[in-house]
Amino acid sequence: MARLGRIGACIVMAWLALTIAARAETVVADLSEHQIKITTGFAGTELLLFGVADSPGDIIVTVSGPDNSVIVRRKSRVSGLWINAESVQFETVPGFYHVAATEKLSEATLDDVLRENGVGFRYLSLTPAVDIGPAQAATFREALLRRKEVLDLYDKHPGLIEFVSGTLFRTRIPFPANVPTGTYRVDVYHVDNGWVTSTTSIPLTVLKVGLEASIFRFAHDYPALYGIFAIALAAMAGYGAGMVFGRR
Amino acid sequence: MQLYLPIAEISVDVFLLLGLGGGIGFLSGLFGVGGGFLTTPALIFIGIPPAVAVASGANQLVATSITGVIAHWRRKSVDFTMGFVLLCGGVIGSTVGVYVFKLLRQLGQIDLIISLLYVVFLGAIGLLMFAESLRAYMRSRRGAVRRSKLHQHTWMHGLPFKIRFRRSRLYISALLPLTIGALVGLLAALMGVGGGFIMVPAMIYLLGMPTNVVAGTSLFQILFVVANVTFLQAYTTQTVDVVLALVLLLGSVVGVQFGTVIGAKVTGPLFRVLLALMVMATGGKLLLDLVIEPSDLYSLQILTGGR
Repeated sequence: MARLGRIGACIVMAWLALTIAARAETVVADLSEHQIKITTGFAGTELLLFGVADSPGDIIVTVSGPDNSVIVRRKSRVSGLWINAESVQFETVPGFYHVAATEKLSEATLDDVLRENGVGFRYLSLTPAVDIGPAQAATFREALLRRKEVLDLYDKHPGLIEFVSGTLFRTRIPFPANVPTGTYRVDVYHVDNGWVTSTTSIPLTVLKVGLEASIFRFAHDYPALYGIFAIALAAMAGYGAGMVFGRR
Repeated sequence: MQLYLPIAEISVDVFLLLGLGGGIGFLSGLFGVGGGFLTTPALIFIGIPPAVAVASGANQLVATSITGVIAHWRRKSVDFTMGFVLLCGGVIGSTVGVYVFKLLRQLGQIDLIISLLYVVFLGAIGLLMFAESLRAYMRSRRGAVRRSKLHQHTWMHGLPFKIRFRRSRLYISALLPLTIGALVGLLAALMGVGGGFIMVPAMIYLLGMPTNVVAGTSLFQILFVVANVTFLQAYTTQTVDVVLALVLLLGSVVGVQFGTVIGAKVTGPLFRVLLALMVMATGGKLLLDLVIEPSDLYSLQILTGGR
């Protein structure tokens, strides 16, 4: 499977290299797969992103997962117990976020480009739903990023993009087992002397397939029926187990 | 081997889950307890979201209690009148409980309440069991037998709506079992436990039921209460993970067999001291987690709108 993907990638890369000659100042890129399928044995995966840049420069890749509202809660000590007290709600928080950049891109340049385009770990436009003052907002924002990183859904350190030969580049994008389902945005930026000269987007979908998907849909679309199903299944399993192991 | 749980939306090691189910099954076979009060904290400990842990725990209890109910039914050791009254209370209690659960979840306090309930109940029951088994141990060493009054009349016997419970040979107010049932139902919804560890002592000491019908009747009530909790959690919060429940069940079915065999060989009050200590330790650990300053004061709650 992976091998087939790699062969496919090579073919596409060769094709890209041929077609790119016709255009000027462009970056063309693609993913080894446009769908991540979550099956029973899903334990995270890795996608290969590869592309061609026709002019010298650097590449930045951002991968952004589906947006959600997130409540960040802070614990306070109340009569000896640590309990959730203040909370701040953030709207449109990407469920997953990953940044990759070419190695020789200086940190300052990367930072500039990211800030200008409002992308990257630090420049995500995360603002609280209600105004709580900049200091509070910054603290909660920092906490949000930190918790996301603990969950492996954000990574503060950018991934590495390497040039394979001349204008061909590639990078591996890791997805953890708890990757949220939905539509993703993969953006590729070509940077020359601190300026973004070209961008391209690649579609990516993360979806549940097979039994998992059916169970999930069943539970959410027909909750009452699913409840009865869960009870019946447990009752049968319990009764069956009782039969196998004799009367207890 | 990793297994992706469709409702919990995380992947866990199958063998860890099987081992967990097996371990809890073993303990419940060994000590003759339900084990629900160990399942929920253990699931939360391995990273299952508390809401899913409680709801799936209830689902698994449907499976574990049904065999017991059938066995007791055959032996005619179920007081159906009593069971029905308890159940009416249980349905009320668990329905209220599921909605309270949903409300607490929105307020971000569900984890705290679950932990606190466990601390209080595990602590109290552990202490009571410890004291009781220690006393029994002392008595067995001294060989003295002390008799208490068989039936005591208190204010409880003055309550209205008296019903005759034939199999239990009782003539008491229906309000008593109704209240006990409601309380246990509430706990089942909030803690994902069957509540046998509260109901059995309440039936013996508060209601004065003969011990031979206690186990069957409490199991009868538990079966329907956990089924109600499963249904309501599935309906209102969509937190019942059947895959999780089935894998746990698979482990516990095997564990129970080993536990029962070994439990039959080693008995005695000193053994019950061990269980009491274990119960207290679980409660103590949960209390420590609440008292010690957490490494990160912040936590996230993701409001899932899409799929």
